[in-house]
Amino acid sequence: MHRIIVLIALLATAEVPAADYKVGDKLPARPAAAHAGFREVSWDDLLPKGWDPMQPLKDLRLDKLKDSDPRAIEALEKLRQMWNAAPINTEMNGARIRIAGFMVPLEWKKTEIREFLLVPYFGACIHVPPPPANQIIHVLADQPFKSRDGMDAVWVNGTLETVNSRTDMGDSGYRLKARLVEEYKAPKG
Amino acid sequence: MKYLIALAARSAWNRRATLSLVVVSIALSVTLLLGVERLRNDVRESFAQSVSGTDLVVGARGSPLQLMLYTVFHMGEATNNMDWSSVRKLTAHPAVDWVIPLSLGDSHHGYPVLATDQAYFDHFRYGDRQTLRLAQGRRFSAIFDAVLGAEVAEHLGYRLGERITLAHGSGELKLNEHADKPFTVVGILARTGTPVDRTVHIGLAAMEAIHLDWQGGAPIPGMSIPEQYVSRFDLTPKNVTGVLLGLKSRAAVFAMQRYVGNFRDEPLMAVLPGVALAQLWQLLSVGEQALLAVSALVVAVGLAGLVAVVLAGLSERRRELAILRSVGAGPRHVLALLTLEGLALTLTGSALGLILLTGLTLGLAPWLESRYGLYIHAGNLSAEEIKLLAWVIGVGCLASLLPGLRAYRLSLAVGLTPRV
Amino acid sequence: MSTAPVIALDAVVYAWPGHAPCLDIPGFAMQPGERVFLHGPSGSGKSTLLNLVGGVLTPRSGQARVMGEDLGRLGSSARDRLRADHIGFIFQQFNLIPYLSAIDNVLLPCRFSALRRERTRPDGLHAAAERLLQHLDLEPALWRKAATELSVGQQQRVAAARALIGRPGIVVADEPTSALDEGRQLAFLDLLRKECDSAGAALLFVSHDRRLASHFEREIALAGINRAAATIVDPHAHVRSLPPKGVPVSLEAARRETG
Repeated sequence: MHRIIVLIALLATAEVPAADYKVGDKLPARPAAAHAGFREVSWDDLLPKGWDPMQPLKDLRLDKLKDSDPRAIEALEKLRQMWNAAPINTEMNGARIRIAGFMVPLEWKKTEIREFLLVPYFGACIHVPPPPANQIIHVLADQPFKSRDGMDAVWVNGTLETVNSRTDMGDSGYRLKARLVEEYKAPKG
Repeated sequence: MKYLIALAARSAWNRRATLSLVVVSIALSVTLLLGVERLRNDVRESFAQSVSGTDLVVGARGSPLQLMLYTVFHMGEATNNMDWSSVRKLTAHPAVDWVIPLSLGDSHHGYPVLATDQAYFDHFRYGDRQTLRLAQGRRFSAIFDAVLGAEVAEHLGYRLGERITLAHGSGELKLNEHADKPFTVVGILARTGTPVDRTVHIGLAAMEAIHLDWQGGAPIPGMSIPEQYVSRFDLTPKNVTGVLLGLKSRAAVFAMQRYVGNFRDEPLMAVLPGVALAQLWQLLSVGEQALLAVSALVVAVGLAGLVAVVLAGLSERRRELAILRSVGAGPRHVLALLTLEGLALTLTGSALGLILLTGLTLGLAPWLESRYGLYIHAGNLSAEEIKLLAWVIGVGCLASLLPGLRAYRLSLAVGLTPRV
Repeated sequence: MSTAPVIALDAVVYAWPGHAPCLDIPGFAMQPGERVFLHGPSGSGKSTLLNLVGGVLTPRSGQARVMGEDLGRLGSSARDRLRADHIGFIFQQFNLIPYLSAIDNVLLPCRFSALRRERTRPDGLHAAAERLLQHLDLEPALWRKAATELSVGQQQRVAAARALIGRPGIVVADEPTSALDEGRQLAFLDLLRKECDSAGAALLFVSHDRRLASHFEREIALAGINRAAATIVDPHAHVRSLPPKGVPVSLEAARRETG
């Protein structure tokens, strides 16, 4: 009997696997809540007002076009460019926010992550198109976050910084010094 | 209570012939358990420390993990190379801050040779954003200059000014030596605790130079270009194994990754080191868990042996229990006595296991460091190891309760009149 | 010295569950310093009586008092303490703990009884033990030896020293001479009596060998005071005869029977 207890106990102290996410999964929306002085925001809040990359496509009537219509191709190209040049919402600079997302690890320290990118959906580095620059946060954690496989869903609490830059290849972006990084637990119900 | 401890110790010592085997088996199981834990943690640490501040590793399309292992850890084989023109395009890209081209393939006495440029000394980071430091000498500048990692210099006893020859391929055979083009050691790097220590660094031009009269991995018969004439030739590299890339903004990494992936000139891929490491951890974790589970079972077996031996010896001790009761010991004291005996054995076994572990680590560490660039610490116990040790001792204590309880009941039954 | 009896049994009855009573003693008392020879062959309820007096068992009915304390009123650890403080026990053989030296064996009761430890002052533990061993005819060379290196006779004398250290009120000796050669039995008895006298301890000497009885002030047959035994066993029966069915030979056997 004692041997079984030994086994179970030892296995239990080994890390428990994170919840299974599929590529492209987003985290469910939650009602706004304040947590220790950090205002909860959603990824949409990081978009500047009135920015709609789908605008070029909206003007087209796709059913009225022929195959390989140059207008459709041009519209898609415009969409891609807008996506690449995604501007940031400068109003968010200095905001103390709390946001949930998926980690893409940058720097490891044994089994802990010190620096990572926070993105809205799972698998941003693998298959799906990458998020635009205004949907990526470069996070530096005050305390390294212990992670089993680096792709966890987390809550990040900290002060957001907007970084302006010269070129169009997504140099502008958001940076966050995280006071606290917590594991994301799916809301009940 | 203090006396019971002394009594338990002397009782166990009295039966040391039988019990020593139990102690040894517990010791070995503790060594195994803690050794596995130490190995897995230190290997992770070694890998994670090896690269820092690099946004992307770019190479020919293939297995991301293989690319990482080869370019950063200098382990394994390269599958394909990357054209130099692609390297130039990447360097010119507005989002890119710096590029370190890397070329591998040769070796020196089993240590890999890395051909790179000055960007390596400027931008390469390891551990916690630490830069490379020269302990002695300077960077390479002339064609046949070499800069050694700390381990290479120490193990082979090289000093500044030493002349060395490199061999083609990764073996130790003297067959493929570039004997006509020796290198001079001009610098030795300070110890980093990463694969850098076991690498010989030369310039990219030098790599071209030594392969000028080679073709497809072997010297062209009848052709030999003396070293003093190599500079007459074009020594720009044709291709490299891969590059390390630093971006002006870390958040641009995805866009850059797509750019490299969609590169029209040749099939390339860009790997995020952090993500590649995560994949490495995932790969290793199944094996790690299995090893740990097996080790835990071995500990259980060791402790089961302890319980069996102590239980078996109990029936002989009826009179001893009656004597103890006659001088005023209660059944609780007897329970404590037997449990303490088991605990003493567990503690002794654990201590012996720790000594064995330290000895093993001290013995193996230099070899692991030299051969694989993996650093296993031999000194203090890590927090995880202490936790495991505490578990072993805790379970040993619980297991010792079994003979304790048996002795408790036996002393009640025996009373003051044991069967004679 | 107090004049209250050191042992006082009053209408004590003990029965193993599911059995008829094996002890039924209307009255038995021992005075301080008294030397009593108890003739108790196996089967007469001897082991039950010894365990009762030692505080391992409590009577089903009646009162058993040791050193004035009512055993029935005390919890088991209190009875253990009482035994430690006031009773020295000598077994028939294998008296010593094999992994302790002779002197460590002697000192055992002092580890469990603060009272007896106190009583070894001002000489101190080791000095008191050494003195006892010397009186019991054991030379210093033997003191540090492991118990297993001593002869049977030497072991019995060490056991006597252990029983007497700290001057307990009672010494209970359960067939202590039965394993000794005939020649040595009297010598042992003499030493034991002398030391009990100087310690002021009462001696309850249980044996089947009536020839030794003459050395005691009082001789009692257990069968005589134990109403439960009288009907079962012939009081003059030799110990070698098998006990009648149903009556336990040892406490262990008794417990095994009753489950």
